[in-house]
Amino acid sequence: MPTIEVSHKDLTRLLGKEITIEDLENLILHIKGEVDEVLGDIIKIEVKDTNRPDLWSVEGIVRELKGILGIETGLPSYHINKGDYTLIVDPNVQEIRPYVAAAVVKNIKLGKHGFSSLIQLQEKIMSTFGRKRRKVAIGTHNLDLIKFPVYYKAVDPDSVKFTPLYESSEMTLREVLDKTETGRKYKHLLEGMDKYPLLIDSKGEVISFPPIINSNTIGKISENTRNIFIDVTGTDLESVSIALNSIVLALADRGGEVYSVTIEYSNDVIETPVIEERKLSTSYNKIKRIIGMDLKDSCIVDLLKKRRLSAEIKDNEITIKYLNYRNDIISAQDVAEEVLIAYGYNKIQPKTPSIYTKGGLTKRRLLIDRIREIMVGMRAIELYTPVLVSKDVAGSLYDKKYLIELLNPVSTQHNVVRPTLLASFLQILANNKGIPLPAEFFEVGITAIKRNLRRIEEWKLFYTYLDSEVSFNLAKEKLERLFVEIHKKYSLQKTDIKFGIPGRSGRILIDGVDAGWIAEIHPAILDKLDIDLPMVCFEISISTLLKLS
Amino acid sequence: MELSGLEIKVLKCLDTTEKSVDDIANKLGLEYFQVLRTVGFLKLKGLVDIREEEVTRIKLTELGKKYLEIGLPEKRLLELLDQKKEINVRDLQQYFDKSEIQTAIGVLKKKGAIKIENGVIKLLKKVPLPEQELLEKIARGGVELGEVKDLLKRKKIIEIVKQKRFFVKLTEKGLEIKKQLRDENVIVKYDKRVFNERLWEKYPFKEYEINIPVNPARAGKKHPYLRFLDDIRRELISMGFQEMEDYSMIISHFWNFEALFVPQDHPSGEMSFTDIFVLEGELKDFDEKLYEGVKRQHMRVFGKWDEKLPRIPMLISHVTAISARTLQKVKIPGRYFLIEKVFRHDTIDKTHFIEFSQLEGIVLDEGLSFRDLLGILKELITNIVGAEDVKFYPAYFPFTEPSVEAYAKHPKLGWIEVGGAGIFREELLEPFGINIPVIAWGLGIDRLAMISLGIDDIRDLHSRNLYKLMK
Repeated sequence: MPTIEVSHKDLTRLLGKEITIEDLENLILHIKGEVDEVLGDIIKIEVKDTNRPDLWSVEGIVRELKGILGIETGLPSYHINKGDYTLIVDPNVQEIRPYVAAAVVKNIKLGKHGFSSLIQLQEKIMSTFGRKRRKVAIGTHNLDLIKFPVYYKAVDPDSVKFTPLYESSEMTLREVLDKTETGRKYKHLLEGMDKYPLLIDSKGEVISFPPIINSNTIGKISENTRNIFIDVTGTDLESVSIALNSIVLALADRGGEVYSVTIEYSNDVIETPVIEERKLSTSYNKIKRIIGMDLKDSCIVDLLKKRRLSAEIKDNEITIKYLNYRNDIISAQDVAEEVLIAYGYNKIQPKTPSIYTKGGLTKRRLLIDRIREIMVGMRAIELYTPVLVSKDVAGSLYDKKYLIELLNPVSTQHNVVRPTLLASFLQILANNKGIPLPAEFFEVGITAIKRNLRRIEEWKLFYTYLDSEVSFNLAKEKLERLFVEIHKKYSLQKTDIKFGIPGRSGRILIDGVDAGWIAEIHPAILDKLDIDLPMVCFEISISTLLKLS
Repeated sequence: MELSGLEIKVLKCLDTTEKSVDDIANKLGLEYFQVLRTVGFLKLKGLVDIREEEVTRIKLTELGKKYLEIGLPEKRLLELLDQKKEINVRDLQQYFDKSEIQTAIGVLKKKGAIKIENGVIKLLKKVPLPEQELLEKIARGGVELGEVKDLLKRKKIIEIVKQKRFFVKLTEKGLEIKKQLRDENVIVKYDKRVFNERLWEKYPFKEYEINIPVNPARAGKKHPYLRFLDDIRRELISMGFQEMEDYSMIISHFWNFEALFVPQDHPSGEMSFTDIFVLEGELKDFDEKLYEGVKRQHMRVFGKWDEKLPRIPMLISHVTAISARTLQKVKIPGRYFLIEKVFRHDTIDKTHFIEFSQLEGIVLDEGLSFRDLLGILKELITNIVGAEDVKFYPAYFPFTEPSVEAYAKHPKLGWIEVGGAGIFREELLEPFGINIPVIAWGLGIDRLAMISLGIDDIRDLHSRNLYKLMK
């Protein structure tokens, strides 16, 4: 979720109305945002709608607030002048970074606030919506230094030299990736490519090296730049257009004049930016059912206008118009939400449905709860341990071929799914020296192993008895009592298991089906974990118990 | 004969052979002088004979005890030289007390372990130092005077003390009284004999000192966090919610995302998962017909579909995935809930752990509206959080619309964010063949648990400290 910083002074100026911080805090909550912190004039706002990059700037927020406050309702109006600017796309970018969209904004007065808002919006879009520049990268440039047409093409990494933004010397594209900070940060995006994307003007001056960095001449803008050329490159045309629109709308709201750019692909010619009205016709009754309140048609139309939409109702059909920056409006439910937000969630009277339904727990939970009660009655203390354990610990208990490994773990302490609850327990015990003895613990939890290509999840009960001296029967007595209480029979089959002392461990069988194990844990296993406590344990599959009942 | 409790106790452990007072005190866990006084009384009553004897004992002085611990000066010097090979006499002051230096050098020189040249001590060979072992032997006791002659010459390491020892044995009379003791006086042990011999009718019970501190009994107990979850489950059952059946820890990307109408925003080839844990291989845990239906909706609305992505196995990252699964076989009207573990790819610290529990539920019925949603959410929050007041704000979840975020006024903490809810999107429901409103909600229970259990590190919800659990 993006968090943006806006200036209170700038916001009120754009809104054209004084508004206190307190009022703002409340209003922001109504546009899916939250004021995180206020530092003097600076307000930090967390925008929770990850689906709407148009909201990630002070200009976007003001656009919504104007509606909510009734300062300006209905569709916002934007005019795009036909521009005399051409961007020619070389087909060789197809394999590298295929899409580009561009716009020109003239006569803008950015000033300090406008400039920082623009930079911030660019960064937020690139990092969140643009998936850290992979999907979308944006560049803003000084229009007055560019000679059109502009070319977007892929070039040999060593063939072109330019001075990157805020650097003092020229370097090749390959050098940029190693010598500049942003180069190093984003070089992985170009890994394995033999040509790199480049935006260059008719004089042969480099504008930018997307998605890495702008040039230090054309590609440098300041709070005094009046005329701006914007380019957006990426891997997906729709995302590229949405990003461009978010920037263009923000600049237009600050008084910039927008001009289109003609993009000439080898097989197609398009004009960008495209800011246009879209329409959605849907069932009016459906919307009213969702709202659940009796509102007049005119009231619903007004509420939608407050959300910067327009609406027309005819019989059972409602037709909504919206500008294409709102690409999140898909169906009746989206329209209903717009009505409800404009109405105010906290003004709505909640209603408690009066239907009767029978509550209850699953069979598995009921058995688990029964077993937990029995174990507590036998003086064992319940544990709740992480499911993800260290591969080293799990591997000392189970053959590695059975272990389910995470492809992207965050810690070596938690990189496989536990095959047995014993693994979780040992990992914790290793960090708990000197517990009072004797100690008895149990846990009911989920485990999983891999067998051939199948992954098998099992709920298990684990019990352990630890003391300065233990014997097999200390665990067997508990097992015996447990089976008496759950009215089941079991038998033991003497089998050596990987982590048990030979001759002192066995499998637990229920109706001849393997349902677990009981063992004195081998000191060699414990010693490896720096544990020097004699220990006897058993583990039973609750999933098997359930299947057999 | 009137005997005190202590006198009885001492009498019982005596017989007609002599025992020393020290031994008796040890055996009974009593103070030496307490026992001495008691046998004095017993002698007055003619029950015991006492014999006095003077013995010589060798003891460590305070300094001796210190050397026992840190080593005699010569031992320490030898160890120092073993490390440094040679050392200037002047430098010894930083390692030794002044008084020790002479002794240390003297002893080692005599044993031929060192030589001194121009004020520099050099190690010639390592020699055994039996005096150090002797200190240990003295500490254990039982050393003969002859063995310690050399040590005695040295200053203040050991001392010789003369002590009186007392030996006690029963007289005839004492033996007689001891025999009677079992039947006489008081009942100490409350056992079957008390009934068999009807002792309570003949004797009073010995009184206990009931204020002697004891350790609390070892008890079995449920884990505090799981007990907290049990309470919530009970609450939900009382509100007519049925627990969902179909939890799996390992599910396909399909259930976690696509089935919930979350757009596929990156091709499977990239595998750049930053918030979920993925596993190797493929997993098809969904019905083919449902898969086609979901794909159709994605194609219609988002215009894209990757066939590989839905089959990626992963650890479940939100319980909503199970709500979706439950849609395959729901009753209408119906209320379902689940509290289970989910996994997130995250850094591990005080406020983040990669495993945590989520509580989610769904409510299905004809004609449910947003007002019902607010009503249900309010009821849940009031019952489960114990909130005094609830406020609602717009929210965004990819699978619900309209969506809401709820803040509760907690009695202690003021306004806190407690959960979210919404009406499942019709695009999500359509492939399941459901055409009535389904309300989905979730509450952040780990935060509530931390508040209610007084924990400020989320990792402590799991058992980390066994000692604490056992307390």
